[in-house]
Amino acid sequence: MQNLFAFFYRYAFIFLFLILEFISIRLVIRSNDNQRAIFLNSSSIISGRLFDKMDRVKKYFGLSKVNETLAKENATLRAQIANIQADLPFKTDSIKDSTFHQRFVLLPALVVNNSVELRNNVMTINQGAIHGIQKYATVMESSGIVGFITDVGSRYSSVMSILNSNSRVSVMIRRTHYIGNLVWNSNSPMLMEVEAIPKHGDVRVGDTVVTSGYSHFPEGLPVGLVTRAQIEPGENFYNIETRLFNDLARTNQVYVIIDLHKNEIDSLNHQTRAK
Amino acid sequence: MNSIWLKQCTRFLLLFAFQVLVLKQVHLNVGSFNYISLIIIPLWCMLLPVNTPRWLMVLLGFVFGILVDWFYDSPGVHASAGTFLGFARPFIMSYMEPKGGYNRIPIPSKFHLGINWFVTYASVCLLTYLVFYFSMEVFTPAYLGTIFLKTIFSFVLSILLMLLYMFIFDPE
Repeated sequence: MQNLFAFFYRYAFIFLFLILEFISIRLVIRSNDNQRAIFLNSSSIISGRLFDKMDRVKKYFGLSKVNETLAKENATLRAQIANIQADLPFKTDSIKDSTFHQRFVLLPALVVNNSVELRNNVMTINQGAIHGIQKYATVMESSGIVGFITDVGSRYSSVMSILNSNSRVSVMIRRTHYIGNLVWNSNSPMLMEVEAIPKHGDVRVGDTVVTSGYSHFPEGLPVGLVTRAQIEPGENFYNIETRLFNDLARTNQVYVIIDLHKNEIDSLNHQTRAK
Repeated sequence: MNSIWLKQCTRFLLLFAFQVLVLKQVHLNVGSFNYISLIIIPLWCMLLPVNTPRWLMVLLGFVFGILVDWFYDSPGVHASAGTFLGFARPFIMSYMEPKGGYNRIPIPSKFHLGINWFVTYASVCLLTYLVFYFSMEVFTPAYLGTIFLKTIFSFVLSILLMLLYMFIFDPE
Protein backbone atom coordinates (compact mmCIF):
# COMPACT_ATOMS: atom_id res chain seq x y z
CA MET A 1 0.00 0.00 0.00
CA GLN A 2 2.80 2.34 0.94
CA ASN A 3 4.45 1.58 -2.35
CA LEU A 4 1.26 2.51 -4.16
CA PHE A 5 1.14 5.92 -2.45
CA ALA A 6 4.81 6.44 -3.14
CA PHE A 7 4.16 5.59 -6.78
CA PHE A 8 1.31 8.09 -7.03
CA TYR A 9 3.31 10.77 -5.27
CA ARG A 10 6.24 10.25 -7.55
CA TYR A 11 4.22 10.42 -10.76
CA ALA A 12 1.55 12.85 -9.56
CA PHE A 13 3.02 15.57 -11.76
CA ILE A 14 2.40 13.52 -14.90
CA PHE A 15 -1.26 13.01 -14.04
CA LEU A 16 -1.61 16.66 -13.11
CA PHE A 17 0.03 17.64 -16.39
CA LEU A 18 -2.35 15.45 -18.41
CA ILE A 19 -5.42 16.75 -16.57
CA LEU A 20 -4.49 20.43 -16.91
CA GLU A 21 -3.48 20.00 -20.54
CA PHE A 22 -6.83 18.32 -21.22
CA ILE A 23 -8.66 21.24 -19.61
CA SER A 24 -6.70 23.79 -21.65
CA ILE A 25 -7.30 22.01 -24.92
CA ARG A 26 -11.00 21.72 -24.11
CA LEU A 27 -11.02 25.50 -23.61
CA VAL A 28 -9.26 26.06 -26.93
CA ILE A 29 -11.72 23.85 -28.80
CA ARG A 30 -14.72 25.44 -27.15
CA SER A 31 -13.50 28.91 -28.01
CA ASN A 32 -13.00 27.81 -31.62
CA ASP A 33 -16.68 26.93 -31.65
CA ASN A 34 -17.20 30.45 -30.42
CA GLN A 35 -18.62 29.23 -27.13
CA ARG A 36 -16.18 31.17 -25.04
CA ALA A 37 -16.26 30.62 -21.33
CA ILE A 38 -17.89 33.59 -19.70
CA PHE A 39 -15.25 34.10 -17.04
CA LEU A 40 -12.59 34.52 -19.69
CA ASN A 41 -14.53 37.15 -21.56
CA SER A 42 -12.89 40.52 -21.91
CA SER A 43 -16.19 42.28 -21.58
CA SER A 44 -16.16 41.14 -17.97
CA ILE A 45 -16.00 44.10 -15.68
CA ILE A 46 -12.40 44.04 -14.40
CA SER A 47 -10.46 43.64 -17.60
CA GLY A 48 -12.92 45.84 -19.48
CA ARG A 49 -12.31 48.74 -17.10
CA LEU A 50 -8.56 48.22 -17.13
CA PHE A 51 -8.44 48.29 -20.91
CA ASP A 52 -10.68 51.37 -20.85
CA LYS A 53 -8.14 53.17 -18.64
CA MET A 54 -5.26 52.05 -20.86
CA ASP A 55 -7.18 53.24 -23.89
CA ARG A 56 -7.61 56.73 -22.45
CA VAL A 57 -3.82 57.01 -22.29
CA LYS A 58 -3.34 55.54 -25.74
CA LYS A 59 -5.94 57.79 -27.35
CA TYR A 60 -3.77 60.89 -26.86
CA PHE A 61 -1.19 59.51 -29.22
CA GLY A 62 -3.73 58.86 -31.96
CA LEU A 63 -5.58 62.17 -31.74
CA SER A 64 -4.18 63.72 -34.88
CA LYS A 65 -4.99 60.60 -36.91
CA VAL A 66 -8.54 60.51 -35.50
CA ASN A 67 -9.02 64.22 -36.20
CA GLU A 68 -7.94 63.68 -39.76
CA THR A 69 -10.44 60.86 -40.41
CA LEU A 70 -13.25 62.75 -38.67
CA ALA A 71 -12.53 65.85 -40.71
CA LYS A 72 -12.61 63.77 -43.89
CA GLU A 73 -15.91 62.23 -42.85
CA ASN A 74 -17.32 65.67 -42.04
CA ALA A 75 -16.33 66.85 -45.45
CA THR A 76 -18.07 63.91 -47.13
CA LEU A 77 -21.22 64.43 -45.07
CA ARG A 78 -21.26 68.17 -45.75
CA ALA A 79 -20.90 67.47 -49.43
CA GLN A 80 -23.88 65.11 -49.22
CA ILE A 81 -25.99 67.72 -47.40
CA ALA A 82 -25.07 70.27 -50.03
CA ASN A 83 -26.06 67.83 -52.76
CA ILE A 84 -29.36 67.02 -51.08
CA GLN A 85 -30.17 70.68 -50.58
CA ALA A 86 -29.35 71.36 -54.18
CA ASP A 87 -31.63 68.53 -55.33
CA LEU A 88 -34.56 69.04 -52.96
CA PRO A 89 -36.56 71.81 -54.66
CA PHE A 90 -36.97 69.64 -57.74
CA LYS A 91 -37.74 66.34 -56.11
CA THR A 92 -39.92 67.20 -53.10
CA ASP A 93 -43.07 66.25 -55.00
CA SER A 94 -42.01 62.79 -55.94
CA ILE A 95 -40.64 61.68 -52.55
CA LYS A 96 -42.96 59.16 -50.94
CA ASP A 97 -43.36 58.86 -47.21
CA SER A 98 -42.02 55.32 -47.14
CA THR A 99 -38.64 56.60 -48.33
CA PHE A 100 -38.13 58.11 -44.92
CA HIS A 101 -38.97 54.94 -43.08
CA GLN A 102 -35.91 54.36 -40.95
CA ARG A 103 -34.22 50.97 -41.06
CA PHE A 104 -30.80 51.47 -39.44
CA VAL A 105 -29.74 53.23 -36.25
CA LEU A 106 -26.03 54.01 -35.78
CA LEU A 107 -24.55 54.22 -32.28
CA PRO A 108 -21.01 55.57 -31.91
CA ALA A 109 -18.59 53.57 -29.75
CA LEU A 110 -14.89 53.46 -28.92
CA VAL A 111 -12.73 50.35 -29.17
CA VAL A 112 -11.08 49.70 -25.80
CA ASN A 113 -9.40 46.40 -26.60
CA ASN A 114 -8.35 45.06 -29.95
CA SER A 115 -6.03 42.55 -31.57
CA VAL A 116 -5.13 41.63 -35.14
CA GLU A 117 -2.30 39.15 -34.69
CA LEU A 118 -4.29 36.15 -33.40
CA ARG A 119 -6.19 33.62 -35.53
CA ASN A 120 -9.50 34.55 -33.89
CA ASN A 121 -9.50 38.24 -33.12
CA VAL A 122 -12.00 39.79 -30.75
CA MET A 123 -12.53 43.44 -29.81
CA THR A 124 -14.20 45.12 -26.87
CA ILE A 125 -16.17 48.35 -27.26
CA ASN A 126 -17.27 50.71 -24.52
CA GLN A 127 -21.01 50.49 -25.24
CA GLY A 128 -23.31 47.85 -23.80
CA ALA A 129 -26.91 46.88 -23.15
CA ILE A 130 -27.69 50.12 -21.30
CA HIS A 131 -26.69 52.06 -24.41
CA GLY A 132 -28.95 49.93 -26.59
CA ILE A 133 -26.46 47.50 -28.11
CA GLN A 134 -28.00 44.21 -29.24
CA LYS A 135 -26.47 40.83 -29.90
CA TYR A 136 -25.55 40.19 -33.58
CA ALA A 137 -25.69 43.91 -34.41
CA THR A 138 -23.04 44.79 -36.99
CA VAL A 139 -20.12 47.18 -36.48
CA MET A 140 -18.55 49.52 -39.04
CA GLU A 141 -16.12 52.42 -39.07
CA SER A 142 -15.96 55.39 -41.38
CA SER A 143 -13.77 53.62 -43.93
CA GLY A 144 -14.97 50.01 -43.79
CA ILE A 145 -16.60 47.20 -41.86
CA VAL A 146 -15.34 45.87 -38.53
CA GLY A 147 -17.37 42.88 -37.34
CA PHE A 148 -20.44 42.00 -35.34
CA ILE A 149 -21.47 41.95 -31.70
CA THR A 150 -21.20 38.53 -30.03
CA ASP A 151 -21.68 39.30 -26.34
CA VAL A 152 -23.34 42.24 -24.66
CA GLY A 153 -22.42 43.29 -21.14
CA SER A 154 -24.12 46.14 -19.33
CA ARG A 155 -21.42 48.70 -20.24
CA TYR A 156 -19.15 46.87 -22.67
CA SER A 157 -19.67 44.51 -25.59
CA SER A 158 -17.49 42.00 -27.41
CA VAL A 159 -17.13 42.30 -31.16
CA MET A 160 -16.08 39.38 -33.33
CA SER A 161 -13.70 41.08 -35.72
CA ILE A 162 -13.93 40.19 -39.42
CA LEU A 163 -10.34 39.00 -38.84
CA ASN A 164 -11.68 35.86 -37.19
CA SER A 165 -11.79 32.36 -38.65
CA ASN A 166 -15.48 32.09 -37.68
CA SER A 167 -16.53 35.32 -39.37
CA ARG A 168 -18.59 35.25 -42.61
CA VAL A 169 -19.87 38.44 -44.19
CA SER A 170 -21.95 38.52 -47.36
CA VAL A 171 -20.38 40.91 -49.86
CA MET A 172 -20.76 41.69 -53.55
CA ILE A 173 -18.68 43.05 -56.40
CA ARG A 174 -20.06 46.55 -56.95
CA ARG A 175 -19.65 46.53 -60.74
CA THR A 176 -21.35 43.19 -61.44
CA HIS A 177 -23.48 42.62 -58.32
CA TYR A 178 -22.25 39.04 -57.84
CA ILE A 179 -22.60 37.89 -54.23
CA GLY A 180 -19.84 36.12 -52.25
CA ASN A 181 -18.62 35.49 -48.73
CA LEU A 182 -15.87 37.52 -47.10
CA VAL A 183 -13.61 35.25 -45.00
CA TRP A 184 -10.19 35.63 -43.38
CA ASN A 185 -7.72 32.86 -44.23
CA SER A 186 -4.60 34.91 -44.70
CA ASN A 187 -2.24 35.96 -41.97
CA SER A 188 -2.31 39.64 -42.83
CA PRO A 189 -4.79 42.01 -41.20
CA MET A 190 -5.11 43.90 -44.48
CA LEU A 191 -5.95 41.00 -46.82
CA MET A 192 -9.16 38.95 -46.90
CA GLU A 193 -10.70 36.50 -49.35
CA VAL A 194 -14.02 36.47 -51.15
CA GLU A 195 -15.43 32.98 -51.67
CA ALA A 196 -18.22 31.53 -53.77
CA ILE A 197 -18.28 33.91 -56.73
CA PRO A 198 -18.93 31.68 -59.77
CA LYS A 199 -16.60 31.35 -62.76
CA HIS A 200 -18.80 33.43 -65.07
CA GLY A 201 -18.79 36.33 -62.57
CA ASP A 202 -16.15 38.30 -64.50
CA VAL A 203 -14.17 39.67 -61.54
CA ARG A 204 -11.23 41.91 -62.37
CA VAL A 205 -8.36 43.27 -60.35
CA GLY A 206 -9.32 46.72 -59.08
CA ASP A 207 -13.04 45.98 -58.64
CA THR A 208 -14.61 47.39 -55.49
CA VAL A 209 -16.05 44.95 -52.93
CA VAL A 210 -19.04 46.29 -50.98
CA THR A 211 -21.49 44.73 -48.51
CA SER A 212 -24.46 42.99 -50.10
CA GLY A 213 -27.03 43.86 -47.48
CA TYR A 214 -27.65 40.20 -46.64
CA SER A 215 -25.82 40.03 -43.31
CA HIS A 216 -27.47 42.95 -41.49
CA PHE A 217 -24.87 45.36 -42.83
CA PRO A 218 -26.57 48.08 -44.89
CA GLU A 219 -26.10 47.47 -48.60
CA GLY A 220 -23.19 49.13 -50.34
CA LEU A 221 -20.75 49.81 -47.48
CA PRO A 222 -17.22 49.84 -48.96
CA VAL A 223 -15.09 46.85 -47.92
CA GLY A 224 -12.00 46.69 -50.11
CA LEU A 225 -10.41 46.45 -53.54
CA VAL A 226 -9.82 43.21 -55.45
CA THR A 227 -6.06 42.65 -55.65
CA ARG A 228 -6.09 39.15 -57.15
CA ALA A 229 -8.79 37.23 -58.99
CA GLN A 230 -8.04 33.88 -60.56
CA ILE A 231 -9.69 30.55 -61.26
CA GLU A 232 -7.70 27.47 -60.32
CA PRO A 233 -7.82 24.77 -63.03
CA GLY A 234 -10.87 22.55 -62.50
CA GLU A 235 -12.54 24.94 -60.07
CA ASN A 236 -15.95 26.53 -60.60
CA PHE A 237 -15.44 29.49 -58.32
CA TYR A 238 -13.11 32.45 -58.29
CA ASN A 239 -10.20 32.67 -55.88
CA ILE A 240 -10.35 36.35 -54.94
CA GLU A 241 -8.08 38.31 -52.62
CA THR A 242 -9.20 41.74 -51.45
CA ARG A 243 -7.31 44.53 -49.71
CA LEU A 244 -9.42 46.21 -47.02
CA PHE A 245 -10.00 49.97 -47.07
CA ASN A 246 -9.70 50.18 -43.30
CA ASP A 247 -6.76 49.19 -41.12
CA LEU A 248 -8.22 47.13 -38.29
CA ALA A 249 -5.00 47.44 -36.31
CA ARG A 250 -5.78 51.14 -35.90
CA THR A 251 -9.55 51.03 -35.44
CA ASN A 252 -10.70 53.32 -32.66
CA GLN A 253 -13.96 55.11 -33.45
CA VAL A 254 -16.63 52.65 -34.64
CA TYR A 255 -20.39 52.70 -35.22
CA VAL A 256 -22.72 49.92 -34.14
CA ILE A 257 -25.50 49.43 -36.67
CA ILE A 258 -28.81 48.38 -35.16
CA ASP A 259 -31.06 46.91 -37.85
CA LEU A 260 -34.67 47.76 -36.97
CA HIS A 261 -35.94 45.16 -39.46
CA LYS A 262 -33.78 42.39 -38.04
CA ASN A 263 -36.55 40.61 -36.13
CA GLU A 264 -38.84 40.57 -39.14
CA ILE A 265 -36.14 39.25 -41.48
CA ASP A 266 -34.97 36.64 -38.98
CA SER A 267 -38.46 35.33 -38.28
CA LEU A 268 -39.17 35.04 -42.02
CA ASN A 269 -35.93 33.13 -42.53
CA HIS A 270 -36.79 30.95 -39.59
CA GLN A 271 -40.25 30.15 -40.92
CA THR A 272 -38.91 29.30 -44.34
CA ARG A 273 -36.28 27.02 -42.86
CA ALA A 274 -38.89 25.30 -40.70
CA LYS A 275 -40.90 24.30 -43.80
CA MET B 1 11.46 30.04 2.27
CA ASN B 2 8.86 32.79 2.51
CA SER B 3 11.08 35.56 1.29
CA ILE B 4 11.97 33.64 -1.86
CA TRP B 5 8.28 33.08 -2.70
CA LEU B 6 7.56 36.71 -1.93
CA LYS B 7 10.14 37.60 -4.58
CA GLN B 8 8.42 35.21 -7.03
CA CYS B 9 5.09 36.95 -6.42
CA THR B 10 6.58 40.41 -6.99
CA ARG B 11 8.29 39.25 -10.16
CA PHE B 12 5.03 37.68 -11.34
CA LEU B 13 3.06 40.91 -10.84
CA LEU B 14 5.73 42.92 -12.64
CA LEU B 15 6.04 40.58 -15.64
CA PHE B 16 2.31 39.98 -15.84
CA ALA B 17 1.46 43.70 -15.84
CA PHE B 18 4.15 44.33 -18.45
CA GLN B 19 2.85 41.48 -20.62
CA VAL B 20 -0.88 42.30 -20.63
CA LEU B 21 -0.78 46.08 -20.31
CA VAL B 22 2.20 46.96 -22.50
CA LEU B 23 3.25 44.09 -24.77
CA LYS B 24 -0.33 43.16 -25.70
CA GLN B 25 -0.86 46.68 -27.05
CA VAL B 26 2.21 46.50 -29.30
CA HIS B 27 1.24 45.49 -32.84
CA LEU B 28 4.42 44.93 -34.82
CA ASN B 29 2.79 44.15 -38.13
CA VAL B 30 3.87 45.85 -41.33
CA GLY B 31 1.37 45.25 -44.13
CA SER B 32 1.09 41.51 -44.64
CA PHE B 33 4.03 40.76 -42.35
CA ASN B 34 2.28 39.70 -39.19
CA TYR B 35 4.44 37.18 -37.41
CA ILE B 36 5.56 38.90 -34.22
CA SER B 37 4.06 38.50 -30.75
CA LEU B 38 6.17 39.76 -27.86
CA ILE B 39 6.01 37.27 -25.01
CA ILE B 40 7.96 37.67 -21.77
CA ILE B 41 5.77 35.95 -19.17
CA PRO B 42 7.40 32.45 -19.53
CA LEU B 43 10.50 34.04 -17.96
CA TRP B 44 8.67 33.89 -14.66
CA CYS B 45 8.20 30.14 -15.02
CA MET B 46 11.89 29.74 -15.97
CA LEU B 47 13.05 31.61 -12.85
CA LEU B 48 11.01 29.60 -10.33
CA PRO B 49 13.18 28.10 -7.54
CA VAL B 50 15.23 25.05 -8.45
CA ASN B 51 13.69 22.90 -5.73
CA THR B 52 10.05 23.56 -6.73
CA PRO B 53 8.22 20.19 -6.75
CA ARG B 54 7.30 19.00 -10.22
CA TRP B 55 3.56 18.97 -9.59
CA LEU B 56 3.75 22.60 -8.40
CA MET B 57 5.65 23.59 -11.54
CA VAL B 58 2.89 22.12 -13.70
CA LEU B 59 0.16 23.79 -11.64
CA LEU B 60 1.87 27.20 -11.64
CA GLY B 61 2.43 26.92 -15.40
CA PHE B 62 -1.30 26.39 -15.85
CA VAL B 63 -2.20 29.25 -13.49
CA PHE B 64 -0.03 31.90 -15.12
CA GLY B 65 -1.21 30.74 -18.55
CA ILE B 66 -4.88 31.02 -17.71
CA LEU B 67 -4.36 34.48 -16.19
CA VAL B 68 -2.67 35.68 -19.38
CA ASP B 69 -5.46 34.07 -21.45
CA TRP B 70 -7.99 36.05 -19.48
CA PHE B 71 -6.52 39.26 -20.86
CA TYR B 72 -5.70 37.86 -24.32
CA ASP B 73 -9.23 36.57 -25.05
CA SER B 74 -7.72 33.23 -26.01
CA PRO B 75 -9.04 30.68 -23.49
CA GLY B 76 -6.65 27.76 -23.06
CA VAL B 77 -3.95 28.79 -25.51
CA HIS B 78 -1.43 30.26 -23.06
CA ALA B 79 -2.63 27.84 -20.36
CA SER B 80 -1.73 24.77 -22.41
CA ALA B 81 1.67 26.20 -23.35
CA GLY B 82 2.34 27.19 -19.72
CA THR B 83 1.38 23.75 -18.45
CA PHE B 84 3.67 22.17 -21.00
CA LEU B 85 6.58 24.44 -20.05
CA GLY B 86 6.01 23.66 -16.36
CA PHE B 87 6.07 19.96 -17.21
CA ALA B 88 9.16 20.22 -19.42
CA ARG B 89 11.30 22.51 -17.25
CA PRO B 90 12.62 19.81 -14.86
CA PHE B 91 13.70 17.71 -17.86
CA ILE B 92 15.41 20.69 -19.52
CA MET B 93 17.15 21.52 -16.25
CA SER B 94 18.37 18.02 -15.57
CA TYR B 95 19.64 17.79 -19.15
CA MET B 96 21.56 21.06 -18.75
CA GLU B 97 22.84 20.40 -15.22
CA PRO B 98 26.18 22.18 -14.62
CA LYS B 99 29.22 20.30 -13.27
CA GLY B 100 28.62 21.12 -9.60
CA GLY B 101 24.91 20.34 -9.83
CA TYR B 102 22.32 22.79 -8.56
CA ASN B 103 23.57 22.72 -4.96
CA ARG B 104 23.02 25.96 -3.09
CA ILE B 105 21.58 27.64 -6.17
CA PRO B 106 18.14 29.06 -5.33
CA ILE B 107 16.97 30.00 -8.84
CA PRO B 108 18.42 29.25 -12.31
CA SER B 109 19.41 32.81 -13.21
CA LYS B 110 22.25 34.61 -14.94
CA PHE B 111 23.59 35.75 -11.54
CA HIS B 112 24.29 32.19 -10.40
CA LEU B 113 25.05 30.27 -13.57
CA GLY B 114 26.53 32.80 -15.97
CA ILE B 115 25.28 34.41 -19.13
CA ASN B 116 26.15 31.56 -21.52
CA TRP B 117 24.30 28.96 -19.52
CA PHE B 118 21.31 31.23 -19.08
CA VAL B 119 20.97 32.13 -22.76
CA THR B 120 20.93 28.45 -23.74
CA TYR B 121 18.47 27.62 -20.98
CA ALA B 122 16.13 30.53 -21.78
CA SER B 123 16.24 29.75 -25.51
CA VAL B 124 15.26 26.12 -25.03
CA CYS B 125 12.46 27.05 -22.62
CA LEU B 126 11.15 29.88 -24.79
CA LEU B 127 11.21 27.76 -27.96
CA THR B 128 9.30 25.01 -26.16
CA TYR B 129 6.74 27.56 -25.05
CA LEU B 130 6.37 29.34 -28.39
CA VAL B 131 6.08 26.20 -30.52
CA PHE B 132 3.36 24.89 -28.23
CA TYR B 133 1.67 28.26 -28.02
CA PHE B 134 1.45 28.90 -31.76
CA SER B 135 0.43 25.31 -32.51
CA MET B 136 -2.42 25.67 -30.03
CA GLU B 137 -3.39 29.04 -31.42
CA VAL B 138 -3.56 27.93 -35.03
CA PHE B 139 -4.79 24.47 -34.03
CA THR B 140 -4.50 22.89 -37.47
CA PRO B 141 -1.33 21.18 -38.69
CA ALA B 142 -2.09 22.66 -42.13
CA TYR B 143 -0.39 25.91 -41.17
CA LEU B 144 3.03 24.53 -40.27
CA GLY B 145 4.77 27.31 -42.19
CA THR B 146 2.90 29.98 -40.24
CA ILE B 147 3.70 28.29 -36.94
CA PHE B 148 7.37 28.13 -37.89
CA LEU B 149 7.64 31.76 -39.00
CA LYS B 150 5.70 33.08 -36.01
CA THR B 151 7.92 31.08 -33.66
CA ILE B 152 11.17 32.28 -35.22
CA PHE B 153 10.31 35.99 -35.38
CA SER B 154 8.64 36.12 -31.98
CA PHE B 155 11.53 34.17 -30.48
CA VAL B 156 14.21 36.64 -31.57
CA LEU B 157 12.49 39.70 -30.10
CA SER B 158 11.17 37.96 -26.98
CA ILE B 159 14.56 36.54 -26.01
CA LEU B 160 16.08 40.02 -26.35
CA LEU B 161 13.39 41.37 -24.03
CA MET B 162 14.11 38.61 -21.51
CA LEU B 163 17.86 39.29 -21.56
CA LEU B 164 17.15 42.99 -21.11
CA TYR B 165 15.13 42.10 -18.04
CA MET B 166 17.96 39.93 -16.72
CA PHE B 167 20.49 42.72 -17.18
CA ILE B 168 18.28 45.33 -15.53
CA PHE B 169 17.13 43.33 -12.50
CA ASP B 170 19.70 40.52 -12.36
CA PRO B 171 17.58 38.40 -9.94
CA GLU B 172 19.52 36.41 -7.37
